[in-house]
Amino acid sequence: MEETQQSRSGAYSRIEGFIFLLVSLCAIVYSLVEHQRAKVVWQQSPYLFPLLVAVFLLPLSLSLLRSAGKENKDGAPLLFLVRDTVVVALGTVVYVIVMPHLTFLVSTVLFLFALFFYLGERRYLLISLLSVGFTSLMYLLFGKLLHVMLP
Amino acid sequence: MDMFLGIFSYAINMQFVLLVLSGSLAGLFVGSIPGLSVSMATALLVSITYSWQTTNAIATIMGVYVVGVFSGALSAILINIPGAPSSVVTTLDGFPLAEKGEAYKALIYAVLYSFIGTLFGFLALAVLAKPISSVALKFTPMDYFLLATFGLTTVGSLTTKHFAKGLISACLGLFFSMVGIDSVMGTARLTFGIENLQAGINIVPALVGLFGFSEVLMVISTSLEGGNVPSLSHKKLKTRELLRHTPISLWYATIGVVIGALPGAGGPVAAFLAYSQAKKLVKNPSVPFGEGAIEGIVASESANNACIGGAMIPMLTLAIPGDAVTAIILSVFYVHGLRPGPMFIKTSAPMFHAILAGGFIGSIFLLVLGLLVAPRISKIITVPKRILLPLVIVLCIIGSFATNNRMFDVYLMLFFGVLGFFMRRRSYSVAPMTLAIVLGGMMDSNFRRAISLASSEDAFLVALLGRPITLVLLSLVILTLLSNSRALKRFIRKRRM
Amino acid sequence: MKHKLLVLFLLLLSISMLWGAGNSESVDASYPTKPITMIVPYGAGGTTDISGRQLAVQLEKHLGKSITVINQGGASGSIGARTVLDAKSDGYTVLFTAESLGTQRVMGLSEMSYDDFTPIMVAVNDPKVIVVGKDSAYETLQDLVDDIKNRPGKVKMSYTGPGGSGHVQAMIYGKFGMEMALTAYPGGADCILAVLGDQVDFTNSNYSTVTGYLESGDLKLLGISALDRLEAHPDVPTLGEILPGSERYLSNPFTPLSLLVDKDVPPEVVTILRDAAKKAVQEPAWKEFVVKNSLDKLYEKYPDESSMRKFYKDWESLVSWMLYDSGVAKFSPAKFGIEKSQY
Repeated sequence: MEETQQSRSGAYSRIEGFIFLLVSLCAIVYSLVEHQRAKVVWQQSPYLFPLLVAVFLLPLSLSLLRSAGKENKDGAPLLFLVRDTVVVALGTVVYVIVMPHLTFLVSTVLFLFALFFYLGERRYLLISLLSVGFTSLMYLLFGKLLHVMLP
Repeated sequence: MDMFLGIFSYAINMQFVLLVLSGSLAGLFVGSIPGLSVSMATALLVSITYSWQTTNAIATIMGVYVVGVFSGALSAILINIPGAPSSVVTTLDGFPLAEKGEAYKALIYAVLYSFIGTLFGFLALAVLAKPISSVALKFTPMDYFLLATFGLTTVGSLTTKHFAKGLISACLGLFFSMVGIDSVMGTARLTFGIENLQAGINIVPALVGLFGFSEVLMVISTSLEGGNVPSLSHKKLKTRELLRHTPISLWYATIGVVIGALPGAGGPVAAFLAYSQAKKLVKNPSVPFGEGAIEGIVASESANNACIGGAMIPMLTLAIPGDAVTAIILSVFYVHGLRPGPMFIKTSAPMFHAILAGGFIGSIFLLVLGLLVAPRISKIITVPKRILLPLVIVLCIIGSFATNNRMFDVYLMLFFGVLGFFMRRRSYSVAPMTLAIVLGGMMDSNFRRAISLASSEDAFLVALLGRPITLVLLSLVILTLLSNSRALKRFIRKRRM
Repeated sequence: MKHKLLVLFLLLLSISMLWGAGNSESVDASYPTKPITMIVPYGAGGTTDISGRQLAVQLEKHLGKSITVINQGGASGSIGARTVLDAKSDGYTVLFTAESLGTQRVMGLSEMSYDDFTPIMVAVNDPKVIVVGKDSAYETLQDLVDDIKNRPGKVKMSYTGPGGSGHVQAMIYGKFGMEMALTAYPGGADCILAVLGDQVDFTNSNYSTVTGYLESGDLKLLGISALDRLEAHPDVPTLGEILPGSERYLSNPFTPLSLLVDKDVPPEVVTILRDAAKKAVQEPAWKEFVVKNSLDKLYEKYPDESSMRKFYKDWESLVSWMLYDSGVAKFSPAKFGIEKSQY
């Protein structure tokens, strides 16, 4: 178990190192090409700094590739509840997308209620009160008091 | 003596004190909610106070400023979401301590050393404003660039075991900071044709996403049940034990004042530098740094609060604000017909005293409010995660929306949340990225300015790096890089064998 | 107890809001019903910022609502100007800017020009002055001019970016064969700091930006870039006295500061703003400010919309062609239909 974990982590490191190498190369090409197009001297060029950072990233990504697989098992906890994480993340995305259509008040009450329920809270009175109460509090505080134009 | 009497006359003015108090309460609230920033609150206050007397406006704003900077530590410690970039460092040790059930202890230390830091900062402002501002003037664009680079490299070395990963995180952050219209030539960079990106990536959605939303996902991905803290320790803390760190905190506060006085660097850099000092200076912390060492909280809080006094210095003596909040305070002055500049402290002494009085009274309220609130608010940690997390998500969303009233910022926040989640899973620290997003713009323009200044000289490199401050900073950066590089370590090991 | 604290917050906050009377509840009857945002597209502390804030204070009195001034510096003022165009064209976001709108198109900085805005008021012109640090080797304007001529491209000057008023000054010098090394800073105050911090040798600043430093002795005033000497400094020469022939460029106000709104803002709102602005400049505090900083009152010369438009047109034509003819501008002014005038 532990060994597979380790080799998997090595594989991830290799992928990451490769991605960063790619990012760095793309950024170098991007800055050089855009700089040519912008027709300004280098010391004024908006692409000087991106180039600098990209060049700096290059050896870093290489060092990551080199050390891949050799690192000690890192601290990330083993237990990984993929399903719950994906559901909550997607749920939030859906909530954000519908918010402009449903208004802040309605969508937030629904979202809170659903999420409390999904995460295993079954005291209905508590979760109804909390979702309505918290939403209205936020609405009053931000929408009315601080002039935030909530949808 | 005049100054003392001037400050004292405000301290016995009930109206003044009450206004500082109401500002402090507001600061406590806005500072602790991620997404609500002190600068937003002061901006709002400007529009409320424009018809008030100048001293009254200053009293309220100083209260918000002093307590608001501190209260970013509350959410940093309790839910691992810093209220503002300055409090990022506080999460490193504050949250682990809270997880152990010692949130109360963490909070008390944060309150106490924020108080000491603030006090020190204002003392420096009172007596050393002129010399400090002349030191700040000595910093050339190259120095600003190197200082920020130094900040980023120390963060890289502090927050992860794998130095390269910390630096990669910082590099990615720098790329994010470049998105949008460039500040010198006005051309759009890295926007990929997305119009909303033209205004750049605001730090608030990034901060809230990288710390807040990704933290929520992290908790859910590990387990909901285990997270609950078994029991809250409410041990009485001995005063002598509490005050033991005072001498060293003054050193952190000195760092805070000087960094605060450099426009653009500010709280986050000061906190990180102080933290790296702490790691070097404190040989035997109570527990290792990063696992809940109070020494870490002491460093971060005394430095970032000392920045307040520091940031006021260039604002008052050079009319250059040190950070977003002082920029707004500067506008309050203009609204009330005052002109900060080299003559301000002499010609507008009563206003200067009002600022100092506001700062000192504000720091006393910080202490009182902090001590009152800490034991109560530390109970948040016992709220079951399944109740707390949904509320945190909603706060994250409102917070990132509130800065610009744009839905786009909420999408950005979600993007950074997911990014931060993967980064944390693969042990890339998110702190360097946050700091890089804050500092990127300033690094970029100062770097180009430095090159532009030096390119007219005959000896390019001498002009670029020849000044003493530059040499010191440059060697610091190189030392940090080298001392953390694996290749060098291996080399040394080989030589020894 | 926690709840009590929370209640206390809310109470205090709501009281302060009532105080501020910034209530958005009332129905939109007449402009303005809520606070107005003034964007200053340069850093805090420069001439545009200082004058904008002064004007904002006086405008508040006549509009009855507060005006929040926001500094959004960078790219010769184009970033802040863009923000104003991007905001809702309801008149709640106004722009107080210097001259750079007239040059941005030829400089290739942005597509914006004065035509994208409706002028509320051409406010003031802040005289351009030449300053050096107190320990500078230059004692007179003549010293400086000689040194620039002797070491072309080596004497360093800070300016606010391509196409800004400092750049136009540099071009006038260029007409007389003087070349400097230019470095861009985000605002007028930062340009001064560069002089104070010995990063550059001199700068072309605006008079109101440097008054405090002249008083404290941190800066030396070497010259005035205008036709006449300043009343406050009768012994400081104008550029024309040292560089004969430069007078014909100096008759132009180089830093005309104006209050503008998006051109789509409804005419009623424009009228309200214009009336308020006219009253605002009659306030004693504003008049005192103008005298103290030796500002040129352009609003007396260009009182109505057609004269303002003509002013911008002439200004744009003069400076754009000047930029183009000295090879600084990226595009020909002819591309944007800017006619060439005699200068």
